[in-house]
Amino acid sequence: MVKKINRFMNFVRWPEFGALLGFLSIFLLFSIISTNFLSLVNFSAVFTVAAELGIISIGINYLVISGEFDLSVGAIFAVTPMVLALLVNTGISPYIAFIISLFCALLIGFLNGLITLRARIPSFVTTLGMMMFWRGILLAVSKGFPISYSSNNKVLLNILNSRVLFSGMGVRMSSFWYLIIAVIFSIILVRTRYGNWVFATGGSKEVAKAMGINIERVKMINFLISSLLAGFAGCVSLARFNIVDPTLGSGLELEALSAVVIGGTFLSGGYGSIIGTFIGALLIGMVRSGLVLAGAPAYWYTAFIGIILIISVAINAKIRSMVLGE
Amino acid sequence: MFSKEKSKNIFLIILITVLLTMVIFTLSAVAGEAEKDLNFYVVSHGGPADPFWGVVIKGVNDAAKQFNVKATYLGPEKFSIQKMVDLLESAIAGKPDGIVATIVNFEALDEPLRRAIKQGIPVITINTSDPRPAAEKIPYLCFIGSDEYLMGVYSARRMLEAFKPNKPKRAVIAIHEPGWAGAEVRARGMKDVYDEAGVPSEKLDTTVDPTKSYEILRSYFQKYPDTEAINTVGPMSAHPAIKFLEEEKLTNKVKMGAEDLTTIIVDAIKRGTCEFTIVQQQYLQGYLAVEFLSLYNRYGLCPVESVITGPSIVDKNNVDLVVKMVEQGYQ
Amino acid sequence: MDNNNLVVMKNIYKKFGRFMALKNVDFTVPKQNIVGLLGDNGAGKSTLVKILVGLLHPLQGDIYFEGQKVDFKSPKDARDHGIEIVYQDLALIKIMNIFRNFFLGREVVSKKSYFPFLDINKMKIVAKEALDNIGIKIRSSDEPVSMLSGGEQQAIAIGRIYYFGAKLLILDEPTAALSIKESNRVLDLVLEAKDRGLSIIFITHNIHHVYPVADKLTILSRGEKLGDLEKKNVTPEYIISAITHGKLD
Repeated sequence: MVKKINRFMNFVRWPEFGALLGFLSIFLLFSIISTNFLSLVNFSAVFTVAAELGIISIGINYLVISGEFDLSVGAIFAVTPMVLALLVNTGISPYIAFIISLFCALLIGFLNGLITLRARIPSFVTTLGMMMFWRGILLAVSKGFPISYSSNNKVLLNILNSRVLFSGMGVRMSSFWYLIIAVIFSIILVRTRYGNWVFATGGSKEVAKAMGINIERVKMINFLISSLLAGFAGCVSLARFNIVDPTLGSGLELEALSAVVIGGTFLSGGYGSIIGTFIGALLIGMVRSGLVLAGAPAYWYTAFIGIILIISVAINAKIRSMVLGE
Repeated sequence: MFSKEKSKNIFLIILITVLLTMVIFTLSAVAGEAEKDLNFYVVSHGGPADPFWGVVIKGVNDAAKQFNVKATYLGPEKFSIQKMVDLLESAIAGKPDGIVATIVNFEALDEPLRRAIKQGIPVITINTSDPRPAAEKIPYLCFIGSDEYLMGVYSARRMLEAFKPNKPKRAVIAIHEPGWAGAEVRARGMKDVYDEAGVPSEKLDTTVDPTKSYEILRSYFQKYPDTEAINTVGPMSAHPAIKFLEEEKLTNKVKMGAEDLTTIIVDAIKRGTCEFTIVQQQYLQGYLAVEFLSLYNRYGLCPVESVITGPSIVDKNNVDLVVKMVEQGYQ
Repeated sequence: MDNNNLVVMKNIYKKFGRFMALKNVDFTVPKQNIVGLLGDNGAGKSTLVKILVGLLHPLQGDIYFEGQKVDFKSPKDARDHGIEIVYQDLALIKIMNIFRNFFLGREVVSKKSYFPFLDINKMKIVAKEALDNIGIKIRSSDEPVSMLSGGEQQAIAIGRIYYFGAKLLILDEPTAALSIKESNRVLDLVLEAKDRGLSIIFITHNIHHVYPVADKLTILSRGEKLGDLEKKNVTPEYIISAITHGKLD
């Protein structure tokens, strides 16, 4: 009996355990309540939403594990495709415009990192300020109007986010990008030296430093990862709507943080999982969709996500105390 | 009685159980209603917090009851084209018997709505339509709403009438949701009339936050003290403007016009702060949409092209008639 | 030059602003020796050691390691030469598991693929064996460090050091927060380290912590060296009195 409990504890120790449990229970719940939940159309709708949210969440996850925050991801999510659309509208090749816009995303991340690390301002504050700054720029440049991607060359957009399977009903390219990114970044985190340094920097930056790890470089790289993925996700979103409106992505930073927390990452740093975040974003997408199919009116959504978030945090706190043996 | 560790565990388990029960209970209550024979989704860009849409929602719900169908209203908490499309995607996945949508941005909504129509889901648009010519626009059954451009035109004309035989020295058009196509079209209607009359006019972004709105108006009037007319495009721009004029004691100097209707606007008309308001009877937009979808599903009948619900002017002369309807949520 | 001494520090001066933290301090660590570095709080023990490993730079003075003149730029530089410091609270990351802590900064990479992926299996096995070697039996090196007792955690930090071939081990108050049983275990480890050929600098302000295992005792007081003593020539009480009165008699 004791042995069985110990085997169970091994599973509980997975950072993904809480997220998986939550995902399965909610999946079950919605499957029972709504008849159309278990359908290909619904899954692809869920994945479409989850992919854009999830790619950003994976980026933010790296930062949180290493002990920092990035509240500017929602703004980067909008600024990057805006740059892309504006450049393409002046006649520049979509591919070059794409590279330039991603480069802009990296630049914003670099600024975030520079200000946080050199001026020693908490990343929470830095990225909050940057978020407001870039949102302002968005509004000023767009004057409130959506900016349309007006090139006839749709190849880039198709690569990013067209529907590929099962003609018209099916899965979008973004789902594949999401999967690929999740796998790559999960491997980097868990199976490389760099990943170990990320955990160490977040677990205790003093010890990491004492052991010779360049914590500033680790954090800076994570700021770049976060902004790059946010920018990429923004372009994927542009491919879906063909427009960038200045409100795009507002509130997304908090949703991404929610996905990260639901996925089992500790906000205090040092512990977390990309697969967990992958599941967390999927869970949030599933809740939104499930509520629509269950016929719940619009008032309920934020409340539900809020409840799920609190439950996740409670479960994760419990897991944390078990893991740390407190 | 229990050790600290144990009572912490018990508390946690109770908390989680309570929250889960809440979730399950509400969901099953809501889903239980799905026993009606027809199921519609109303997907709009307006969220639960906007009193304008509250009236539309009432129209939707009243018609649902009247025609014995299920109609669910979906809208993002904060204006977001992206979130609206996400909701629409989920609605389509629900294989409903009809969808009502606002074409807040035809580019973003084109693909999903065409797909829904191709799958055989009837689509009706309300409030904001597809501005493109017939060959290009989304093939929805019909549009129910007001003519936005005309609303702007009526607004400016009625404002000019209030100043006859003079003209206002300057007019400001307060917009709380720049980027919302409807606001921009109304503003264009107003500007066209003002330009023709030779009155300088300008658009002002006052945001959906009432406190910020107030401050923005105050700064504007400090900069342009000769402004004599304010036109607002909806309750979210009207309410702060009413407060502003009354608190800054500008009601004798500045005339204000509103669009859409709320109790606050009605009271302001009675008091004289607000000169008039242009209504689009949005209750009808919600009600008729559900009615038409029900009739279409059951008997194959539906009006074509457009059913125009406004503009219509409410001022001191007919405000009393309207007051009662506002209180009850019909206007 | 000097074949019997692992570390020789000569004429070390250090100033912080206007405060003279160290004044003309000589400090020698013989090979395969346990040296207790003693003194009351603020005597300069930590400062001296920080200068040795390159965290601080002296105003004046020379440092020799294994007979060669050195000037380490950073603790990593010192570590590459075989000098390791184990701080009381700064050795391990509690939330990470044992093998990741063990190989922190020196992760083992699998030679099989193009990309430098971690050889996780190897690290798990090696960590477990290394700990076994020093008498710490663990269920699995995949468990978080926080699951172990204070003494066991200290042992990981020390066991890690052998594995990576250190020559000099610097311990800063290693037994201050431990129970008697655990303290004894640490002292056993320290003796074992000496047997394996390492020298140890044992910093403490409490003579009783180090007396059982020390060979040599160096006492600092207010930035100056009071003296070097052979353990076999003195009693703990004598040391205490010297520290309290600030002079040897």
